[in-house]
Amino acid sequence: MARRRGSGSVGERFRAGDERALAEVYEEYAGPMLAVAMHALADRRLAEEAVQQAFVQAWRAAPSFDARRGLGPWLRSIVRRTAVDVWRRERRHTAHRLDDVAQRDLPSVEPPSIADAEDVWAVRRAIDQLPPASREVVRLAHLEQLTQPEIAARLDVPLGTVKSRTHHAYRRLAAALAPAVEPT
Amino acid sequence: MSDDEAPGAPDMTVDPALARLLADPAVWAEPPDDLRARTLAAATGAAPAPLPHDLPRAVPGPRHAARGESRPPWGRRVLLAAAAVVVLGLVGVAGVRLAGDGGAGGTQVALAGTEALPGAHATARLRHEGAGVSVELDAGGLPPAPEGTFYEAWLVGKDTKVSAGTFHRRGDQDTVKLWLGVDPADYDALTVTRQPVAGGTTAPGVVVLRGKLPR
Repeated sequence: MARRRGSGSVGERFRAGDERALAEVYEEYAGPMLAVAMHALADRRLAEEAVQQAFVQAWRAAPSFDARRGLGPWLRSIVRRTAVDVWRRERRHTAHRLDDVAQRDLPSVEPPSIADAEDVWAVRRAIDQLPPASREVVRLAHLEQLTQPEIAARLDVPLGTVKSRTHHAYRRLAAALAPAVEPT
Repeated sequence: MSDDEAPGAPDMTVDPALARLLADPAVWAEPPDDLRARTLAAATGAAPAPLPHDLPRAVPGPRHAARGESRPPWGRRVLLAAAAVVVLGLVGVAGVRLAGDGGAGGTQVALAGTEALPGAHATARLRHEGAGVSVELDAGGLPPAPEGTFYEAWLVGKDTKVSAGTFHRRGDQDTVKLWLGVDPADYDALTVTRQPVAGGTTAPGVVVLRGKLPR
């Protein structure tokens, strides 16, 4: 598909078909999109497929993208939908293999974890905005479940540095996530 | 003052709902290098490379167990909670003893109590068997799980973690036998968490035992 280049914001250039903008959008959003898909599908291969499909759909629908609205929410909704599509497809195949359940007998449902899509997106975007050193401390503490002294040993930094990085990281997370709260 | 110059800020923790997400390997998943090329090629109409079918399957985290509950939109609930960062005293460190041998007797891992349960200890012996990897946990040094809680064993790796099963230790049996469907060589540590029954395995547990796996 031959697409022209545009000028302006990434969203505007994406809408105009600037392939450089597509690459920029991928760099910024592939991580959160993969996080949403992984959370929903719990399968890296399927999650990557969902992300790829989401970008293809977004690119094809780019002319209809309203550049006044954020790319993030738009892409989040697209990858959420492609993840659900992939999940339903896999579920149908699994049902056919296991007990020959007809497609029409399967309720049209979504993976339970898709309910967290907005949460996963917001948290991933927030941690992506952390300085690398702070991000690593948070990752080690929460994903690897290391204590602060263990993190200090792993990173070969003083314990006080770990504490201060943790402190700053949590503050930044709070600041990044708080504005996402919708007013009641 | 930069992060590194700070002499040490108070220990902090975050809302449990946010902690649950931060412990989710999916949240930290990084796109592989080749996905970019495949995706851009597929989007722009260039000949897309096929999806590789030999990619390792991700190990589902604890969220995938019994996630049937209906949850309200999280944006308001958790993000507000995340903003309410609470300064708390946190855990210290407990020594971890390692004793590994890969012989017929399996690999032995010593687990030491964290500050959440100081003095606790256990020994795990991991053996490759026909059905998977058995984990015989000598948990005589682990008190019974308080009512309303249970213990859950985990393999923890760089990008993922997998549950090895749950137990409560309320009987008089010291040895707990658990099973793994993954290779422990791919993980860094064996931990035991105390989980609230109400939250199940999806709730962020408190790490009470930890031992490093020999590489």
